[in-house]
Amino acid sequence: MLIRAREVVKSYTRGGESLRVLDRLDLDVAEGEWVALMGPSGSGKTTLLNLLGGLDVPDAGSIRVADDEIVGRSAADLAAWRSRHVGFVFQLYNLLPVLTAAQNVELPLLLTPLSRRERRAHVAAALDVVGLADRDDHLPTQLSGGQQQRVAIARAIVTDPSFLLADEPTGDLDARSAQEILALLGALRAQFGKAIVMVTHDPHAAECADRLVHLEKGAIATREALVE
Amino acid sequence: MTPWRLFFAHLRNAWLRVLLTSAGVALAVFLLTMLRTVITTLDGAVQAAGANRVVVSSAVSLFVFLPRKIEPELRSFPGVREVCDWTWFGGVYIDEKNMFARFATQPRELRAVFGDRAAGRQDILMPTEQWDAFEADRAGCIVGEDIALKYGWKPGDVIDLIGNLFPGDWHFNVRGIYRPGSGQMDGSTMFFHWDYLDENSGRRGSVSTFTLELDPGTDIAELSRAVDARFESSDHRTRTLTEAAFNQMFVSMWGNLPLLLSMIGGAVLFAAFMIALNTLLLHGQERRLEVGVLRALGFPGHTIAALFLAEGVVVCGAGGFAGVLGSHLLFNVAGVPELDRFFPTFAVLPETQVLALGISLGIGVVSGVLPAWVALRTPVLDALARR
Ligand SMILES: Nc1ncnc2c1ncn2[C@@H]1O[C@H](COP(=O)(O)OP(=O)(O)O)[C@@H](O)[C@H]1O
Ligand SMILES: [Mg+2]
Repeated sequence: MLIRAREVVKSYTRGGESLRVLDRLDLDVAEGEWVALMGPSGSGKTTLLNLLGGLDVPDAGSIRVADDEIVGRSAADLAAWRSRHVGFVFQLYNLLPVLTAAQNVELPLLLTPLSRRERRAHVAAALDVVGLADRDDHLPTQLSGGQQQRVAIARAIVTDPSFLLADEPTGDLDARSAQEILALLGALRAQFGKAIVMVTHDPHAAECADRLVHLEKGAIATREALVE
Repeated sequence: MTPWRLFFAHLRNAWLRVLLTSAGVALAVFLLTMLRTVITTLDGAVQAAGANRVVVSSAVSLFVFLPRKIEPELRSFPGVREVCDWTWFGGVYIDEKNMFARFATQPRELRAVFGDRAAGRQDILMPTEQWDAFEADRAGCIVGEDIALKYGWKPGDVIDLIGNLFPGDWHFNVRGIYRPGSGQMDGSTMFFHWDYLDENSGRRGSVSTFTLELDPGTDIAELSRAVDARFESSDHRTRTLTEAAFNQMFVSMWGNLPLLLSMIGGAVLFAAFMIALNTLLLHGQERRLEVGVLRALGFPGHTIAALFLAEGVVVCGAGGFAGVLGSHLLFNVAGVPELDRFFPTFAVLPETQVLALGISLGIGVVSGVLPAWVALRTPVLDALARR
């Protein structure tokens, strides 16, 4: 099992009131598995993703990734762990607007000991995988939404992470671009065996995944594959 | 590894903002060096005073004359080695705006106290032949190299002055051109024979000040008290000050100018600081998402802070450098006639330049660290969620 989350609890306090967003949640993700996470707005999907990616820490529980416990680590430790194991894909791409596509993709490689030449080779390969080899010197503003998301995916995979976390990766795209992104994620999983945890509101997108997990009131409602 | 590419990308992307911020700092630093130089120039005159010289002037005011006939009496005080009187002539050279100091004096004594190199006096540096020529010609004068250059005077030329304190048309033969050899003297003063002045102005017998050169080891305080006590009950009471204190009195004629200038300089600098800080803070706000992304990718906080710090230091440092360079070129290389009229030795000191650079770098550090702190304080998740 690649990811094994057990009895994860996460609460937020707002206005003096404590809101338990995740309540003793369990989740397993196998190597190479593509899990779609659905649920009503505010059900804690983003919160769960953040915990799995080490961007946030749970109040209680255990999260093991490839048999490594990530709960209880220092912030610096967690940052280093993230850079090695997690590829993030965001709904709004979150590319740095002042950098070109290639420079955006190169960013996470700056945290590795790779030489400049090696970095360039990795960037070229990643952009090639997402089909944007010819747009390497474009700024994000010079790219369409779908293209930007593909650059973001290239940035997520360029360090060869253990798994990808995608929070509504098609949420801001038209149907056609969304389909391209889903196809790309599928190809990544097929080619490189990357596990993917993807939050989505779109049933079409969910269908592409191996398994659908439904989140409701802080717990998992259904673990069954939902194929209609 | 620090993503320095981001640093350059931001500089390029916000080049106008960078340029304007740098220019603001440059202007402030320029003003600071200028105002600071006024202060160091005034200070320098005080510092450069001879340690074994005292100046006797009227106790009433600098503008009240003393009778020259008390000179032998001054000479008679134990410890007094030489006496040289100076008399402020005033006058106009062609036009009111040609301002330079003109003094009547005793050439032989001036040479002995300020210009006798063989005896270690080097406030006024001039070839022996020119000193001799000056002493020999009753209508002779000597001028500093700066005004000689400015007005194109050479030995043998005639300088015509229109008298005001001493009315009439005055003509002087240039007999020497001196170079100032210490901070006590500047290169834009004219000296001529007191006898010539006195003879042609109705034998008033008056002088402005006496400079007493003392033997080493003389108790200056004691001597000054004794001199002033001697003339206490006469109708020409004296005030005897060390040369340094006398210079200081001239400086204080500027009122509290140095303090005023310091305050203006401080205010200008503070304004520049606020502008730089504000600009970079705004820039930091705009980069919250970027910082969130970098941190999500795993970049440590200090790496991100280094980017901001570098930006602040480079933007403000470049401004500071430009300001210092500008004031150096203007005041030290080119020279400003308007300023040189008031401050014959107006030059930005290296200490002032180092100070100004240091301050601009300091501003840069603060205006780099503060936005970094603001950006890093925002939780990563809030930044990513654009909250
Ligand atoms: N930083 C936070 N502070 C306070 N409340 C939060 C914070 N983040 C999320 N929440 C709350 O937690 C709940 C779950 O949020 P989230 O995980 O973003 O839901 P989803 O992604 O499923 O829409 C929501 O009610 C949200 O308002
Ligand atoms: Mg969400």
